[in-house]
Amino acid sequence: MQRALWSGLLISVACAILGIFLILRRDAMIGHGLAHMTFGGVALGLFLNVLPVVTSLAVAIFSALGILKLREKAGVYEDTAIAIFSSIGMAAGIILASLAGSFNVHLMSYLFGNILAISSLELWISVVLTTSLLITITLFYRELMFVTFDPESAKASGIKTDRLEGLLLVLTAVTVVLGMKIVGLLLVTALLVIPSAAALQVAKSFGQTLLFSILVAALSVFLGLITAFYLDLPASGSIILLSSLFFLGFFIVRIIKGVS
Amino acid sequence: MNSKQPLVSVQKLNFRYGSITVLLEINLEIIKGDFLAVIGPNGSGKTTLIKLILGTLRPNKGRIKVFGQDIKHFTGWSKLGYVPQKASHVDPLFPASVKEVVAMGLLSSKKFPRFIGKSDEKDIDRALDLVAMKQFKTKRIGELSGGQQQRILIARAIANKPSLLFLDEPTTGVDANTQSYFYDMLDNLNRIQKITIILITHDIGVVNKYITKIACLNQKLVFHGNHEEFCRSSVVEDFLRGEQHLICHRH
Repeated sequence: MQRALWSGLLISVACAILGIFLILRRDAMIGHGLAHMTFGGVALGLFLNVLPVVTSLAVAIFSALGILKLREKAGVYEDTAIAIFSSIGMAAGIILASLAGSFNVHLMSYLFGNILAISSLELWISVVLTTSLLITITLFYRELMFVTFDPESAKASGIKTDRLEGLLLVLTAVTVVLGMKIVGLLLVTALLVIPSAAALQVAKSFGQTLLFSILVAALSVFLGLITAFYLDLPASGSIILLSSLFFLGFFIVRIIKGVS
Repeated sequence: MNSKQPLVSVQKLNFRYGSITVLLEINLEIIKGDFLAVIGPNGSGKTTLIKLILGTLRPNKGRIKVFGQDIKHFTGWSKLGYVPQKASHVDPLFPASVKEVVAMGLLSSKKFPRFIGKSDEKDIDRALDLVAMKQFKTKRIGELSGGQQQRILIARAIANKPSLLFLDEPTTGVDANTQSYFYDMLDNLNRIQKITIILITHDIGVVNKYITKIACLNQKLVFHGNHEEFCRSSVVEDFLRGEQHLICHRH
């Protein structure tokens, strides 16, 4: 339980921060697309008998860069590029999982999440990846904010916007892989989007949005795990439903206060 | 850089979007102290020219030098300020405060990692003072009116104390009173703060009393000179075809 709590809190913080940039860039569904592709990576790991976190990380990063290139070079709309890659990931995943004879509880734990069964190796991988992700976002925080707010002016200020967009996609891919053990691939987008969407209802600055988003995500994971533990419910569902309640609460506050 | 060198030098510039030629054989020099209005009909390449000078688009042919440096290898970004065309379309839900938006303008002068600290506060305050918006520092940008948002984006563009300021139709959707205040402010930046200004505008009649030079674009550079030369130019009226409000006397 303690292992689950620590890894859950760390990853939720990463999701909470990254989600804000994705929502404001109208890229909220990219997490969903990357999750489908990650399914292919999980199946590949099971097929090759390699730790699925490693193969899914490679597949997710490759797919993220693929989406970027398809959008930039082939003149394909971003949602179309996401649809193409996610379909390929899902289709390859189904075939690989079938070949590996892996349509079992193990595979389901990646689809629906099983944070309580997280191994100590997976915990350490999560700690290293989440820490790297948080350091990267801290270092590029102001540039990411500028590119998100006004990409054209950011480019005219000498900021390498293409590289930052690539970085953001790679970070999202890493976060999706990290989040799959907590809430599962089917719900990882919710962990990326809902806490940030809740914070955006009431925050008056970017800094405040970050703070509220982190608080909502961390509280959802903490209370979701406690609820799941004592009521014997799936942790993933509890975490996401609690974060949805936070969203609803913040939404009502916004309506009452008349915040624009 | 030699003091007599132009701040911007554009030579034999060509640009196409796919098969459509937007700019053809453009030669233009912008001199220190200029308040240049770039005019022309819709689709004449005004915004494209500015984007090429700022390096956000790459030319098909020709050369652009800014502060004597080829724009492909340009490093002096802190000397430039830019207020884009879509300034009036700020996302009302974007959660940035006015202070955070103005701080974005300081990033071009910073090396990695580009952190904003307490020492940057005075530059933010100074920029907000120049556009008379300091009292809105902690407000969310989406809560401000269109005109106020424009002033904040100008504050962002001048936070770095640039030598060269580009504005792309900054008064679109702004009422007449605010426009007048706005151009007085630009005049102050040009004459008192010594900032060279390049302004894309559709209303030469309104900016007439502030500008020192006019450049007329219509795929080619049809005219480049001062106001008096502009009024005497025979090609201008044919070229404008009533799309621009032309007043050939100074207020």
